[in-house]
Amino acid sequence: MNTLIKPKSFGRLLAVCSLVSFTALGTVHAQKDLNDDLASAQTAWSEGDFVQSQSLLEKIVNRHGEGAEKEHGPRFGVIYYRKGIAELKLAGVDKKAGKGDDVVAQWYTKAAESFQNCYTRFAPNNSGKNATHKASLQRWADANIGLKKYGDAAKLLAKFTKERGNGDKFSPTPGGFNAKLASCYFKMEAPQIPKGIEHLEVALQNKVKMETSNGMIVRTLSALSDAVTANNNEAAMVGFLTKNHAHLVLSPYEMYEFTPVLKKLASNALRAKMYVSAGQLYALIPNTDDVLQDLSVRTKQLAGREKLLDGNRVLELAKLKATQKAIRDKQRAGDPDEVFVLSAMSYLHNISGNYRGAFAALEQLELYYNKSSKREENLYSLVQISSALGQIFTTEQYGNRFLKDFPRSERAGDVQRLMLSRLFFSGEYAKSLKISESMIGGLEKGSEQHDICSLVLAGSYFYLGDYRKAQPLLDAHVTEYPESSLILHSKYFQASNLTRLQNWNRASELLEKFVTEYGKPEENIYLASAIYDRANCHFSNNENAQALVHLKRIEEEFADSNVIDSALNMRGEIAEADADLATAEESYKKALAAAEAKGNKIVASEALKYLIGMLGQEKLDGQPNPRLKDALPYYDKFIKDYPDSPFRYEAAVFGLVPMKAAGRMKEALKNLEVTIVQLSKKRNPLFIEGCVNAYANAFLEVEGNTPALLKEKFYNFDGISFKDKRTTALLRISLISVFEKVLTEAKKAENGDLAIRYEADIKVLFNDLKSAFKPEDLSNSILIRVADYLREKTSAPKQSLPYYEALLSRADKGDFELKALLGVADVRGNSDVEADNEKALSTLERVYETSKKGTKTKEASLFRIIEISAKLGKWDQMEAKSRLYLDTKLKQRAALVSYMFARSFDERGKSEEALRYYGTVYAGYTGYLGISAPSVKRVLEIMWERDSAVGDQIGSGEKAVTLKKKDRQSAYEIGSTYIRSTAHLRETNKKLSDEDKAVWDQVAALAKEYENSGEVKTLEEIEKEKK
Amino acid sequence: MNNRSITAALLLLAGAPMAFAEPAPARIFNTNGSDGNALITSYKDGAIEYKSSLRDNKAKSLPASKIQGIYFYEVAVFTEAIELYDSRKYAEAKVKFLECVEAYEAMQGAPNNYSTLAGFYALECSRRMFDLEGLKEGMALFKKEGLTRETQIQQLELNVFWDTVRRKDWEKVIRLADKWRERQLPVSHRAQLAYCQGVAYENLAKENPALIENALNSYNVVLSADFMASRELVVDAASKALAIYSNDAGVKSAMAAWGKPEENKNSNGYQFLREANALAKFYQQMGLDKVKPFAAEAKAFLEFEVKE
Repeated sequence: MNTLIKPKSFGRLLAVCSLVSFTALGTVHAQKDLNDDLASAQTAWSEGDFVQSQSLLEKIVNRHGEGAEKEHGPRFGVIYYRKGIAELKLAGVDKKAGKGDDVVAQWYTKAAESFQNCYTRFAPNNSGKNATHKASLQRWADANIGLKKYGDAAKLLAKFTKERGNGDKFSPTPGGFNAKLASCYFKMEAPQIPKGIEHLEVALQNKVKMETSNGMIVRTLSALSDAVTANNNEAAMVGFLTKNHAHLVLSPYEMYEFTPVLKKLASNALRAKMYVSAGQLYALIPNTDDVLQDLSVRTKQLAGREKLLDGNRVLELAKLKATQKAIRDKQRAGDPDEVFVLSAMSYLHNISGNYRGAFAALEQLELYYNKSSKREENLYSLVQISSALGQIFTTEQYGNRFLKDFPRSERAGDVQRLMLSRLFFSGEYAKSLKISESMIGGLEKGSEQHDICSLVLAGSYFYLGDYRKAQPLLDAHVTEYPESSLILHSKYFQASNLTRLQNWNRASELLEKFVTEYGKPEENIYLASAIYDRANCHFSNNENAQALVHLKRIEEEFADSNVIDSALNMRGEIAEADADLATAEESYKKALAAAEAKGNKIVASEALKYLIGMLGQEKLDGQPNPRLKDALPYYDKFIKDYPDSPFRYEAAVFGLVPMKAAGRMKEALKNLEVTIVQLSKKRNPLFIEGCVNAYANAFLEVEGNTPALLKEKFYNFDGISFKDKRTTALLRISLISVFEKVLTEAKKAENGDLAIRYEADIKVLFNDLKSAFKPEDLSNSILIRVADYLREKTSAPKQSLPYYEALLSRADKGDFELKALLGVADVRGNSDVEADNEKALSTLERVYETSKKGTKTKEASLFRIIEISAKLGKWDQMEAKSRLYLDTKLKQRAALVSYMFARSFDERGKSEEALRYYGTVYAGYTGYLGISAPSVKRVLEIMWERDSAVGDQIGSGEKAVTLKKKDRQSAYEIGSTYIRSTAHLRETNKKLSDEDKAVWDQVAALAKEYENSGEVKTLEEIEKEKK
Repeated sequence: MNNRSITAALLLLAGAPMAFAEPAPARIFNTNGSDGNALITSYKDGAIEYKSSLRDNKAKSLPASKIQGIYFYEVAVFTEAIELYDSRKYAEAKVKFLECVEAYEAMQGAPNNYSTLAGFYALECSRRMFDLEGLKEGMALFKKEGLTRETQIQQLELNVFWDTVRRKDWEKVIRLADKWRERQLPVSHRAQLAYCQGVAYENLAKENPALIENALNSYNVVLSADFMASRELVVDAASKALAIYSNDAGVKSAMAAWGKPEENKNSNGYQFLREANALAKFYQQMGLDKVKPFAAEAKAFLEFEVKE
């Protein structure tokens, strides 16, 4: 007989019982009652009235159960068995109905008692059979499982395995039985994990043969997961998953059903820090695309049929379509299972600190699953991690995306901060500036965002070289955010920026403070730079000894710092200034090596420039330089390795002398030619004039070259298009200067023919200039450049007027109006017509009044007023304007103005004041022979003429002085001493004009005249007396 | 067709070892709405020849016009092969798949036939074993008609991409991968692309060292795109990334200077060393060291843990 008793065969069993089993009962009445009750129980069961069915069966066992073993035999066990079945059913019904655990547990307890009775009291024997005897062990186990008595359940199931006969079937299937037993082992109080795994593997590995359903496997896997988590035994789970991976993998459409459980198990593993298990469980979650395609293919394969069986695989059309719809809905909602898995992967990478991995997961979420409900969180994490990884462009890209898609997010501020600080600290200053400028207005002062944004704004200006804009912002940041996490940065930028503004004293003060306050190199990334800046302050103030102290510290303590190469260059400069050429050379070489090791091309090329300049000097101590050839390797290296260096123009010019000596002038000229072309492409080529002039001079030094050839060269300069008006005009004007120079030389040599030819050439050049560069065709900036050049660099400054006037006639003069006015006034000031000069003065007054404080235009206009006033003999005005110039501490021409100030008194016959101010000039600017010599000359002349004696009182009131030496003696001594102290300058200063030399010679003559006059004690005599 | 006799035949076939051409058990859906099991002996352009049982001496023909669809039952040799494949025993699986290809070759061209499917998986075995020569040879012989899953057809396109890797045409690999990047791909395909891109960048970095970071980023995509399902790629990508760190001169210097006064925490080498430590931890944390033990140099990274 079939001893696998399934609940669905309950009714049939009852019927059998009532007809067969109980015909032998004691009394007819009792037999009738029993059979009636059994029939009623069957009817109730078949009608779904399980309560009534159980109640009737209970009535039977209450009435007939005692002593039933003897009275009715083993067959009575079936009644206990079916009563147990009814109780299991009711437990399930009440459980489903959500009744309390106690109610449910009561049914399980009753069921367990019923099955226990069936098994223990009604074993088959000679008196009869009990078809349910062994089956009751499995059901008893089920009741215990319901009561969570897993240990007892496992024992009963094991007992069944041991006692079962060939006909006793496993419930629900052999695979299901093993899975159930495995679950009991996993769920018992002290789980027996290996035993459980043993049974789970039997169920899993024989799933077709043993009819193990996928649901059973997944439920048991869940029990295993709970057991390993509770017992911290990840190894068991990992071992199981590794060994059985193939058996766990189903077709994607089948696997999908279990995805929720797998996700839960994986999450549990993650929480329990069982990362290997988590990874293996994630690997079982099928890819949505694979599932959809599998479903689609299988649906098509059914060709419209409802169902098909393939082994233990069941294909049901309705289920396939429903699953397809569920997945598509999930996909449309934006959160397919890949989102879950990738988020977990991001987490797993994050906890080990592998940010590249976390970034990769988050980026995939953004690229492929950007409709996810967690997108804001994911995208924010992506910005955070890309920032931490230093991937600035990615941070910017995703940061912008975040701000665009989530402008009102609470995290928007953080994203802006991350984008900005990352950009800034990665050296993207132009972008940082742009973003911080647009952000700063919308940020609340005092907030962290404002703190960072204002630092980035100021710091960007600093690094981009806009030092004037940077300084007030840096000062403000230091003042407003003293507790900022970025205060170290702003304090350094603040101090360093001052060095760029050449405010050496304040920079020194702040740098000293900074170096003291943040003196630990490991905590201050700017320490070496700050020390270098401090050295630079000393160097610029001619405090070379102090500068060297700091440079030495950098060499000793910060040999690997980013300023070591620059520091070595500065040490070289100091040594060169001190004429210690050996030390200078050694320093430059070290600087070169250090810069090249770090790949710092700018500093490396700067070191080369110094070496070329120093070794390539034409003369040393007035003698031909024997080391010219030593400059050549550096020159060649520069041209080869650093062709785009900003120092190229200097290297190319410095290299002319040694290259000429080596007979390589043509090559040097070619290099200079390239340099000029390079500079011409720059927006503001500061040094192009110098290069063009150097080229012109060097060109003429080549044997066979003539001004005419130079003209041909400059008219057709390789690499410079005629469209480049700025550079072409410059070349033409430079050419005019060259011809003017050779004209002067021709006249000096009294070569009349040549002079006439040059004069004609110059005329042609000017005509060419006018026709090729019509003022109306030129932009404002080129107009002003051509005009200034004509005015300042040629003998025909008037030629500049059409250009200035063209500019002034324009409606849009840009920022050039004052410069043009100054130029026009300057030219008119040189005119021999007094009216022109007067006009110039009033124009200059206007320029002075309207130009901004501190600009070159303001200073230049005031200086020209002083000069023209002198020319017009307006001495009072000259005194007033000179005083204004000196009082406002203008520096450009302070020496010359001081002299003119003194002269204004002299011209008006105010000898006392003239003497006083001439004295100030020659004492303060002794080395500037152009003003000290005429000042001394006038002092000598005035004093010689005044001829006051010892004891005479000079001046009146508080300024009155009683002479201790007679005027003529003083005049002699002043003159002679001056001549002695400046004689070497008279001989060596190449910039000294012939006029200046003549004045100096006049002073020397006066001193000699006084010495020979017999009226004074000579210096020789004075010195003898002293001895 | 007699359903009872065919079921018996199916059971026989399911357990029979494969050596030569076999009829394929299938369910035929007729256009008249009826259906039944059959043993298909050949397929051509939608038409079949079949037997109702193994005992039938002569196969019958059924024209395409009468067939609404064919469902091929999974055959034992394929089941066996796919279990080996899922157990990651790719060499053994490939042998079985090829047996299946041969046994049911007469079905090729039929949608979802097991010969074509087995051929596809045989290619996958070569790929997963990084046997790119084998993949190339297999691709030359493979007939894709019969494959109906888009992911599988797309995998064939990817196999062409793998051939670019075999030819070491690194710049082309990058170009192709960039084109693929915008496409919505299954995760396993994304992992393959990233892996190939990583290898290409790593090779190109020999000339242009700046590309080494791209290689690291690509390998890290592999470590998240299809983690463990593409286990062979994951393990290899992680090992390659660790080797990049091991070979980096800056990392070596940072290891030598670790904890000493000369240590420069702002150097690239130091940053890379921290990354190497993190990746080594991940490798261990995820049990990859049990799949492929650490190289000695890579294991050493575990010691360079920053104490925060």
